[in-house]
Amino acid sequence: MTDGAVYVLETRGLSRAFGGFFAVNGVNFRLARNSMHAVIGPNGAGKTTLFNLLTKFLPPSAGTILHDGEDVTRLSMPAMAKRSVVRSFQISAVFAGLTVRENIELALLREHGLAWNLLGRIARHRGVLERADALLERFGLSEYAGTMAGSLSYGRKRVLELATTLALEPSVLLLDEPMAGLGHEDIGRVTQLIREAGKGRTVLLVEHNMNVVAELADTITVMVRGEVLAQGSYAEVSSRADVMAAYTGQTHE
Amino acid sequence: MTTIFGVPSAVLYGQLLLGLINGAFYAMLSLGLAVIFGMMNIVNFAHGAQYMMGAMGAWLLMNYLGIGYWWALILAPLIVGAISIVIEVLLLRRLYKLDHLYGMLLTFGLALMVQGAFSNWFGSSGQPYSIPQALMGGRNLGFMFLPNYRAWVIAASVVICLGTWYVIERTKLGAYLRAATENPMLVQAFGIRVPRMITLTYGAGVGLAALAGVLAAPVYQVSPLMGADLLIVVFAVVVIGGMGSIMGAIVTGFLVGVIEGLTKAFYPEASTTVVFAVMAVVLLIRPAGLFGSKLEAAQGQPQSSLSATAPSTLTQTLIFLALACCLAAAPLVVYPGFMMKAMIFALFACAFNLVAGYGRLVSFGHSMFLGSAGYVCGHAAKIWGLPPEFAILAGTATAAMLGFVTGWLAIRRSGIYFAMVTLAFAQMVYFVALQARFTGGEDGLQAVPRGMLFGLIDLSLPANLYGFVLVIFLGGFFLIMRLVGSPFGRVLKAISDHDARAQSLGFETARYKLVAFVLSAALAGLAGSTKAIVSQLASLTDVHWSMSGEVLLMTFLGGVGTLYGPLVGAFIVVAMQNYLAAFGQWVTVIHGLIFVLCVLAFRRGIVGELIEFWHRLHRTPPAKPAVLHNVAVAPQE
Amino acid sequence: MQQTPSKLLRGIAAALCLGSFAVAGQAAAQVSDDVVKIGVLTDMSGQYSDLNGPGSLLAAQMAAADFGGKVLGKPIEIIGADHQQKADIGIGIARRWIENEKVDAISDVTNSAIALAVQQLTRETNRVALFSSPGTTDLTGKQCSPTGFQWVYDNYSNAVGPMKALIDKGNDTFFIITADFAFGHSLEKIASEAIKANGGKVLGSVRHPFGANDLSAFLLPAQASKAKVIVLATAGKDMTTAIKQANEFGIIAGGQAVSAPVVFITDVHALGLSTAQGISFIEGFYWDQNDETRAFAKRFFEVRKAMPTAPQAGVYSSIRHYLKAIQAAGTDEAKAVAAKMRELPVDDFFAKGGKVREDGRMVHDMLLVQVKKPSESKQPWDYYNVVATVPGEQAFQSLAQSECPLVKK
Repeated sequence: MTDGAVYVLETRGLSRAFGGFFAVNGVNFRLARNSMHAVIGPNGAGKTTLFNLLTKFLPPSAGTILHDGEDVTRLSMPAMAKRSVVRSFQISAVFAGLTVRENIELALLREHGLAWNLLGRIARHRGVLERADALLERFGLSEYAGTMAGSLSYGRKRVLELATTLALEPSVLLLDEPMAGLGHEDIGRVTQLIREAGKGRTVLLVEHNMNVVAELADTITVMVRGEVLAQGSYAEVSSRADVMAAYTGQTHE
Repeated sequence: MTTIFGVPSAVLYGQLLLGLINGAFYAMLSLGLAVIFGMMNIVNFAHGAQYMMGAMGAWLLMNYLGIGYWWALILAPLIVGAISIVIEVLLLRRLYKLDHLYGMLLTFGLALMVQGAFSNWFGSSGQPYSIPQALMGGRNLGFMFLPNYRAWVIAASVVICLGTWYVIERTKLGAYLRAATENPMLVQAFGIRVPRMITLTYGAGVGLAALAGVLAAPVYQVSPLMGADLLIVVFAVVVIGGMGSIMGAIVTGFLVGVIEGLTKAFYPEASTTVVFAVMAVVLLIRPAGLFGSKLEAAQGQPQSSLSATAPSTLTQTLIFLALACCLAAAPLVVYPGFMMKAMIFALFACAFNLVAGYGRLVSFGHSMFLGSAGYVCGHAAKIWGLPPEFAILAGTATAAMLGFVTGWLAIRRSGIYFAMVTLAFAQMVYFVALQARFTGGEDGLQAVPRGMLFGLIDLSLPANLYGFVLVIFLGGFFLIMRLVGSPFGRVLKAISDHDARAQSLGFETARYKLVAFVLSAALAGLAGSTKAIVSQLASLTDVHWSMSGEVLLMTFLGGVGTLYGPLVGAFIVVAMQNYLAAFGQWVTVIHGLIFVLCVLAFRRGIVGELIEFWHRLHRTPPAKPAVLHNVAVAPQE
Repeated sequence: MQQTPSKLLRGIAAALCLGSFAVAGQAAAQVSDDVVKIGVLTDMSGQYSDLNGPGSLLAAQMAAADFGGKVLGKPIEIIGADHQQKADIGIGIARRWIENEKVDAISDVTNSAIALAVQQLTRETNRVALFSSPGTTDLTGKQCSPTGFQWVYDNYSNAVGPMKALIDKGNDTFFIITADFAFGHSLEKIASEAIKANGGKVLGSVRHPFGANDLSAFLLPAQASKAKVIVLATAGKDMTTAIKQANEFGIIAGGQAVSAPVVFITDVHALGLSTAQGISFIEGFYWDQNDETRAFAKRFFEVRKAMPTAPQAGVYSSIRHYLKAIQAAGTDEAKAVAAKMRELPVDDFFAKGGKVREDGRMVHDMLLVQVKKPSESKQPWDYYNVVATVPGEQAFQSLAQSECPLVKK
């Protein structure tokens, strides 16, 4: 951790309570620029809650969140996206009623100033069409361009979701258990895509799959019972006794 | 005699006590609704009809079997509960995997059928049912005379409500039920038969409604429609209380009764509207409701959209032109009065579909836009003497503004809550229309002049009038067509598929929904204004909740989420209204039947099914089943 | 004036007919479209389906059949439709009937909003309207029409008679509970004026919202006022609920009388005699009044299994009179027929010595009735004691008070 630098994302005393129960309790978290960082922990540790707080899906009960040094605690999810901080979802979030191509075009609309265009047609805007083509190509989805997103296999949905997220060219990428529900083959592909996407970006992952974490993450945060237990590289963290204890019963896949 | 704010204290205490008693009924009914929704995620629109069946059941038992009140208290709920269990097993069960909306529509259709059938068999005036001998008479409390029966009602309902709360919150059975709601799969894995529990829960919730009906029979009028208007108030109670807590439903019921009682003491004319005003205030301050805790489903849950990919622009334009030609030529073969009415309703339905189909915001209050625009347009044409184009503009603008205000409040919620909020606002508009001088109340705004369009075209000539309506309809329809195919339309569809995802991509979804809602309101207002000019009349029918039900029927029959569906649906329903008017008595039942059939068999609606058939014929991979599904949620952390 | 396609065709037909007159060389009777068609527009499925509804249609059919099924050598055709209490459906049907289906007269109607619209329509298209049940006095007042007739009762006849009768018996203090919309306000105004005119006093009033489930809250101040009479200026479900609850709260037992101007036999049937006993009001017709009415009622009951109500009997009477007028006029052209309707006296089981005035009001004797005690009633529908007959001139608003532009002052 480099002290004195401005972190991409930082939390100070961040807490979230449900009734009397603190899912996240006084967390001080820092995300360094251009790093690939994973948040791990046993079930019920509060990883997802922390993630939801960071992505503004939930409001905090206490504490602050900073992006690039600015206080973003009160901002909404769309506002964060406009600040180029974009998230993905644990259950693959694609727009099932639109085709693959339409999904990607949608992500491009804001950038091209078309979001509030009430009477025009997307098909008239070459810029959007070309960018969509490029993205489809890059993610290997070109042959599925006309398929309904809802009828894709789960793995491809994941890929599509990544494609739409990256269409925004975010500077910070927040991925919620990207490997969840994927089969062996797909895990490989998606891991590769994330690695490529991570070049020149800051990426935060919440993940259960330790192999993927070991492969991808520069640094790791371990959470237990709503609090940060350890932070550091995979090697440092995985050898600590208290981390092992927290994970008693966990095996590598 | 002391007075409090000008009202004698005796009268005030009396009103409070009476209010508490009324609150008892609200509490029982909203409890039943909350139990059913809480446990099954079904919005039981048949609740009012089941309450009525309880009351009628008591009367039938008395009249035909000589069975008295005390037995009826037990038997009627059992019988009505049993009937509804049969319905649950046969019909409702098929809908659990689908969106809440279908459950709502099915129960709504069933309610129409039951109410219509009872009206036919027993007449509409009502049946006499007297207070049981043992409870007759009353005592003088000093500030008022309290009938024994009313005291009994309070006592009985408090016991029943607390008993239900206890069972749900404090017993093992209740714990199983609550667990089964949170995570049915897990509970089933423990060997507990979840479907059976769900069935019994539904039966119990309905039984509560029927019990309330039996309690009501001696004091309210026993008639087939007794539950219909009551249900809307109960929905408002539920929105105020929030669906999360059982105790909340009970407390809110009594609370609303007391508030109504207070209103009756100080400003009686407003007592039917006050509950909706309270609802609006609560929504502003605490959107989850006073006791609400259960987060609404849908945020973050992906749902399949309804519409297939639109055909190419060329095909669309060709179909549109063909439609325009057909409509223009139609008066040669079909009575033009019918055609005009059908087109006006088609525009209304298409406007409704804009938010209901493409935005997945199903509003139960769209009649307020149709009706208010009609009144303003009529008034502008008749009293202010504006030419038709300005009168229509005035009406449309009114509807748009109303849409903005109600939409801004309603869009804070989604799904069933959204529907209930819009319904409640529509009720407020109805009561304003009923009492305001300028609307003519129940007489309506009569003799609206047709005038000279642009000062040149005399609209009292049939050919001119028809052309006028045709242009308005085609214009509105074209606008909707463009909207749906535009980038904005795409965003709207995406939002309706997965709101949270759209937000994460930077779209301020609430704004889009609001704009869509306002557009929908404005177009509905356009239809309403044109209607006032054509029929030369604006009446309460246009702001009544049954009109909102009609547009829902038209859209779902034709195919919600399709472009031409609402048009087809509107034509069919208007044709039925006019040409089957001779079968008058069975119209409500037929409407209900159509709803039920649509939900069970023709979910895509006529046009939707046709499109599906076309895809299958051409062996094109069909759109993902053009129906709404709930995706099972993986265990949360 | 609206030009409708069928009107143009009728004009041509008329010309041809006139031509054929010359050829035939004799005065031939002139019936448009060769049929006299009457449309019964009513509430078949809703709140008023018992009061009007299929019973009205039956009454119309009986009137046509009793007349011989033909007039001026042309058949009489009766059709019916359900307006479902919806204004746009009602007016849509009326318009279609007139423009497309050769209907010459529209009967019954039931609903004030629809009635006013039908009045406007028939006035414009020169057809006849025979209103049997809407109560608004505007139909013979501001909105009167040369071819529109109100046959059975109106808000005035309902409200005034009972007030006077009650005061005559010494009940001179009143409290009025009013339905908070135009109908109720109108009723309240008429009743209060009648009370004051006859020397009574209105101690207070309260307005209840239309369709309130529970009226006990509004009975409370009425009870507290200790007025001798509580007037229910409301109708239908609200009225029956109020009466039921008045019993429940011991208001009637406590000695206060309840008067409800707008009550029909179907309401009494719904309430049951034990609840409704003692209530007095004005009715336009009672099936058990005399042999003639009983004969009609018997035939009606055989089909409907319910006794005819005043509006239903009114449908019979108004159609019968209309047919007689056509016969006398030698044509079914609306204005000529209307003139005859005013000329001929109305004399049937429904009204003896009835007269149709310039403003369209059919003036006939009304009945002041009181609901029997359960012990007094020998069979279902045996509900009324006829207390007095109110002569037509007293029951209805006088021509001098009418706001109808057709009335020469």
